[in-house]
Amino acid sequence: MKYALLALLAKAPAHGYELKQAYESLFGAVQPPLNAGQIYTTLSRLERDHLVQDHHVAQDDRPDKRVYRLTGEGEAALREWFDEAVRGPYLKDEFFTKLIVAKTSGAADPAALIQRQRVEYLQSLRALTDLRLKNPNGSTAAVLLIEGAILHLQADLKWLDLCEERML
Amino acid sequence: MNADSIIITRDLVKTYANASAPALRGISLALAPGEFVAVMGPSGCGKSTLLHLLGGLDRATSGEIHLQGRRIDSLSEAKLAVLRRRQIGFVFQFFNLMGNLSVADNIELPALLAGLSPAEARRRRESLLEELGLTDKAGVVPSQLSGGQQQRVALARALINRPAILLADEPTGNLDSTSTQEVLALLRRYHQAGQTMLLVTHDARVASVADRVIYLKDGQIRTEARLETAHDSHAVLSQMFALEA
Amino acid sequence: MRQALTRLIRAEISAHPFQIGLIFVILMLATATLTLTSTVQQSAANPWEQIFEETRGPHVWLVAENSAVDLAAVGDLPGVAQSTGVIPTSQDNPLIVDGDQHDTFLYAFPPEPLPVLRPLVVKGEWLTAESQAEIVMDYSYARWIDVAVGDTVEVLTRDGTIPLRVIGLAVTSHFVTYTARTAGLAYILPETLAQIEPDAARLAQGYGVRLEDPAAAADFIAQANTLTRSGLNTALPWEWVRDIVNLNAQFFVLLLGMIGGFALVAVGLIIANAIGGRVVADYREIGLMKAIGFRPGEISLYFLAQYLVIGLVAGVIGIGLGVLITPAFLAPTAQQLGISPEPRYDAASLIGSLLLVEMGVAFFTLIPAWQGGRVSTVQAITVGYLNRHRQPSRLARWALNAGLPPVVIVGVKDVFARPLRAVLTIAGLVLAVITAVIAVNQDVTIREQASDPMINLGTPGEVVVNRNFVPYDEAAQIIAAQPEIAAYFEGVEAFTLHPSQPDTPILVRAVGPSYSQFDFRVAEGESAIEGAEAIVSQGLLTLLDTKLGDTVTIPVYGRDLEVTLVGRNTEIYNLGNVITIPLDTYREQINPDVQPTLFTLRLNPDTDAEALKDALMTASGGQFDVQIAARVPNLEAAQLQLVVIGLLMVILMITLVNLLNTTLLGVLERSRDFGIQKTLGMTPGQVVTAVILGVAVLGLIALVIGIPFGVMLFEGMMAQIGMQLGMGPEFGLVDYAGMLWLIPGALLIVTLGAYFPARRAARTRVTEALRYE
Repeated sequence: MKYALLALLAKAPAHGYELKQAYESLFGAVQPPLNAGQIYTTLSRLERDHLVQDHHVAQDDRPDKRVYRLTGEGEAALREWFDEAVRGPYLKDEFFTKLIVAKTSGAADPAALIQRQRVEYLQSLRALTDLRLKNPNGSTAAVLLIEGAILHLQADLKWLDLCEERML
Repeated sequence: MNADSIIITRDLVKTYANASAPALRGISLALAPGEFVAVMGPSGCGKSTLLHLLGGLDRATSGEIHLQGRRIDSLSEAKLAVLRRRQIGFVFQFFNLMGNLSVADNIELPALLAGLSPAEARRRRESLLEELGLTDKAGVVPSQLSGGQQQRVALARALINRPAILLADEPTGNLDSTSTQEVLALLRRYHQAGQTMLLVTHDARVASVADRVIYLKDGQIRTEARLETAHDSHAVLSQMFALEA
Repeated sequence: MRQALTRLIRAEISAHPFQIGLIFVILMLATATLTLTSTVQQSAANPWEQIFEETRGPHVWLVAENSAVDLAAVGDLPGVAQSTGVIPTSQDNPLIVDGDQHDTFLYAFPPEPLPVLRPLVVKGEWLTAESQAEIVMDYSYARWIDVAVGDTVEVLTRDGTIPLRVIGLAVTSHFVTYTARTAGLAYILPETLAQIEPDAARLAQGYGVRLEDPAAAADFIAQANTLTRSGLNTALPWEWVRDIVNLNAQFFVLLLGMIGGFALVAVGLIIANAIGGRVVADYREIGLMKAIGFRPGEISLYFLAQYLVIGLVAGVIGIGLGVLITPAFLAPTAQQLGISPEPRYDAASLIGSLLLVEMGVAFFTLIPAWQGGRVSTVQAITVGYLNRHRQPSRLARWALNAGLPPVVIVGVKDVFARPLRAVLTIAGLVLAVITAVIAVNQDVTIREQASDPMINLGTPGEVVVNRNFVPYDEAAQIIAAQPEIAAYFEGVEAFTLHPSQPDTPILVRAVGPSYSQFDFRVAEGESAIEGAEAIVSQGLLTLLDTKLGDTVTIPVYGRDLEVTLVGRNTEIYNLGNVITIPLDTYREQINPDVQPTLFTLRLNPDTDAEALKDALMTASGGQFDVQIAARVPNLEAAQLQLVVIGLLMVILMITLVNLLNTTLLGVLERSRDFGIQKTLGMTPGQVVTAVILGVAVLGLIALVIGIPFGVMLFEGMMAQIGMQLGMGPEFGLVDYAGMLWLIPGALLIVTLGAYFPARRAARTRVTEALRYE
C-alpha cells in the first residue's frame, strides 16, 4: 500500500482522509474499505523514511489538518518502484508440496488430490465468471483483476491436467 | 438415472474405421431437464465424438442412447434427421451458417423444416432476432458479421424450435474474449430460462458456467464436478490477491 | 521441373479419378461427334460430283420415247467427247416385288463398261455375258423397295412375268432420288430386254454424252432437240441433276451441319464448364503451388499439359469411336441421297477434328488457369475463399417468401452461386432443347407432310390407277364398275420444258371436271379452275418468276399452253414445278384427242384399299398400275429421321454427361453445406431432392428460353427448305402438343444427370464435412 500512497501524493499533496477516499475510489471494488488506522500507520512510516513530509494547516473551527507532501526522495523512490518490473510468477507452494509427497508418503492418492484441487479451482472460477457476468461493465480495476484471476485459474487447471498426465 | 432425464447414454462405445483404439470406451451419463453440463478433456479424449453421437450425427459402435425416453441409437438416418429437427439444437465452433442465406433466413429455415407454419416461424424468428440483438443485421449474409455475431445467429437458429437439448461444440473456440463473454452470458441466460444444454470445451472459463463438469480422458469419464453459484465472490477475489501493503 | 509436373499430374488424376474420367468421356464424345458429322457431311456434301467422275457420268442424258427418233445422230453433233451409244430402255415394264408393282426404267447395258455412264457397283457384282436371267439394280432404288443382292424380282411383260435374280446394286450419277411416284432404275443385258419386250419399236431410247465443254450442256440440248425435231422427251443436263441431288443433300447437310454445329458449341460449353470447374476447384492447389515457388506461367503450363494429354488420348479414341459409328449413320444417308454408302475418310478432317478439340481444351483450360494464377496466394489457400458470398440468394428469398417448402428453398439457393457456371450450363441445355425442338417438330413435319400424299405426290385421292396398256374405254368401265369408289377424276400428265428454264422439267397435270369433288387444298387463291386457269405450286412460281394473277405460256408438245394462275397448292412433287389445268383446257390448247391415263379415286369410308386394288388388278388382268396413296410413312424421310434421332441421342448423351459433371462439381464444393443441412434435420432423401431441384431450375430456364428459340429457328429453316422444295413456306409443322413432352423429358434428363451426385451429397458424413473452417 505504501507505494500506492506515494503515487497518490505525486498528483497533489493531500491529508489522510483525502488519501483514504482516493485509494478507495480506485480499489474499492476489489478490496474491503480501509480503516483510518492503516492509512496513518503507513503515512508515519513513510515520514520516518523521509519519503513524505507533513505540515499543519490551520483551519477555522476545526483541529489543524495534517497535509502530507512528497519529498524529493519520495519522488525518486516512486520512480524506482515504477521502473522496476515485478518479479513473478508465484506458484501455489502448498499444493505442489502435497502432490509431490503424496505418492511417496502413501498417505494420499495423487489422483484424488488433483481432482479435489480441480474442483476447488473450478468453483473459484465459477465465482469469478459469475462476477463478470453480473457486472459486465465494472470499473477498470475490477475488470482487470477478475480477468487476471480467471486467466491464472485457467492456467492452473491446465497445469493440473499436466500433473495428471505426468504423474498417473 | 432418472426416468425424466432428457438424455441417457449407457456404455456408449465408438470405434472409428481404421482406428486401433476406440474413441469412446463405454460412456454412461444422464442429463436432467434444465441441466447444463460441460464436457472437458485433452484433445483426442473423445469429447467431440460424444457430442456427435448424442446429436445423431454419427452412429455408435455399441451402447444405447435415449432422448426424452426414446431410444435413438439404432434409428435410421432419415428418422434421426426428423428427430433432430425438433428436439436438438446445434452450435458449432465454426458457426456453420449457410453462406448465401440472410441471417434471418438462416434462423428461420429449421423452423420451416420442423413443419412450423410460415407465420409462426416468422414470429419466432423476429423474437429471437430481438432477444439476441440482431434485428439490424437480419438481411445480410453471415460473412458480413463478426465472429461473435455469427455465433449469436447460430444460437438463434439452434433455439428456434425450442429443442429439448442444445448441443454446443467449442462454441467460443473461434471467438475473441469480448465475444466469448457475450456468448457465455447468452448461454447462462437460456440456461436460467430452463434450456437443457451440453457443451464441449477446452476452455475452463466456459465450463465453469455449467452445473456439472465432466472430465473425459482416453474415451472414458474420469471425474465429475458439480459447481455452485458462489455466495461471496468478493471474498474469493480478496483471498487470491493480497496487495502489498 | 518436368518431373515435378509429371508427378503433380499423376497425383491430380488419382485424386479426382471420376471427374477426370468424365472429362475424358466428354472429350471422346466430342471428337467422335466431330468425326461423324464431318465425315457424313463430306460424303453428303456434293455427293453428286464425287459419283459423277467415278462413274464417268454423262453431261447430257437424253431419252426419246418414240423409237423412230434417230437418237444416234446426236453423237455426231459438235462438242461430243464420248457417248454411250443408244441404250434401249423400257419404261413400261414394272418390277414386281412381293406383289407390289414398281415403275422401273430398264436399261440395256453390255457387260463391258461403256465409255460414258459406268454404274459403280457397291454391292454384289455387275452383269456378265451369262447374266440373261439377272439384273443389277440402282442402290437407292433397291433399298427403297427392300430388295437385296440374291433376291429375285419379277418383270411384268405383256405375256406375264419374267423372274430375274438380283446380282448387284450400283450407284450412278445421272439419276435423282426416289419418291413413291418416281420410276426406279435397273440394268439388264440387251438380250434380257429383248426377251421382256420383243418389239423394239415399243422401246424407248436413252443416250448419254460427255461434252468437251461441260458448260455447253444447255446449248447441246437445244441442238439435239432441233436435230431430232423435238423428238426428245427427256433432256437432263448434268447441272440440273447435280442441283437436284445436291438440293436433297442440302437439306440434309444443312440439318446435319446445324446439329453438328450445336454439338460442337454444346461440347465447347461443356469443356469450359468441366475443365474450368475443375481448375477453379483447384484454386487451393494453385495457391499452394505458388507458395512453394511455381510461377503463374508454370502453373498454367501444368494445367494445360494435363488436359492436353487427356484431350489427346480421348481424342484419338474418339476418332476411333466416330469411325466405328459413321457407317451406321451413313447407310440411310447414302440411300437417301443416292450416293455410295462407303464412308470416305479424309485424314485431314480427322486430324482437324482432333486439333479443334485440343484447341477447345487449351482455350478453356488457359482462361481459368491464368485467372487462378492471378489469385493471390493467401486468398487461394484460404479455405472457403471461393464460397464467400456477398449477397443472399435472391432465388431462395423468393422461394421462402412464396411459402415454398424448405427443401425447395435449400435446393434453389445455390443455383446461381456461381453465375458463370450456371450460365454456361443453361447455354448448353438450351442448345440441347433447341435440338430436341427441331427434332420433334421435324418428326411431325416429316410424318405429316412428307407422307401426305397431297404434298408428296400431289394427289388428293386415295388410290391412283394408271391404265398402262389397257384401252381407255375398258379402263373407264372397270373403274366405274367398282362399287367402293365414291368418286374419281381422270387426268393426264406430261413433262415439258419452258424456254426460260430449259434445264428444269415442268409437270403439266390435266384433271377432269370431277376433280372439283376433291379437296385440292390450296394455300393461296382459288381451288376451282375453269377454262384457261391453273393452280400452281410454289416451285413453278419461283422458276418462272411469276405470281398468282399472272398469265403464263408454257410450250407442251409443240403447242403453247396459256393459262392464268389463280391458286397455289402445296406439293413437293417434281420440286413443286407443277401446274394443274382442267382436262378440257388441255384438250383445247394442246391435244384434243388425248385420252386420260390416270384415274384418281376416292373410296367409300371403311373400304379396304388393298382389296380394291386386288379387284382392279384382277379386272385388268394385272395390267393396271394401282397405287394406294395412303399415308405411308415416307421411307426416305424415315431414314433421315433415323440420322436426326441418332444425332439427338448423341447430344442428349453429351448433355447428360455435362449435367453429371457440373452437378458433381457443385456437390463436391458444397460438402460443408450438406453437413449443415443434415445437422438441421434434412433427411438423405430431402438432400437428394434439393440437389435435383437445383438442377431442375436450370433445366426449366433452358426450356423457357430454348423452346421459343427452337420453334423460331425451326420455322425459319423449314420455310427456307419449303421454298427450295417448291412447296412454299408452309413446309414446317409445329407440334405444340408434342413439345409439351419436352417438359417431362427435360425433367427426366435432369434427374438422371443429377441423381448420382445428389446421392453422393446425401451420403456426406457430417463429422467430416464440418471438421474444418
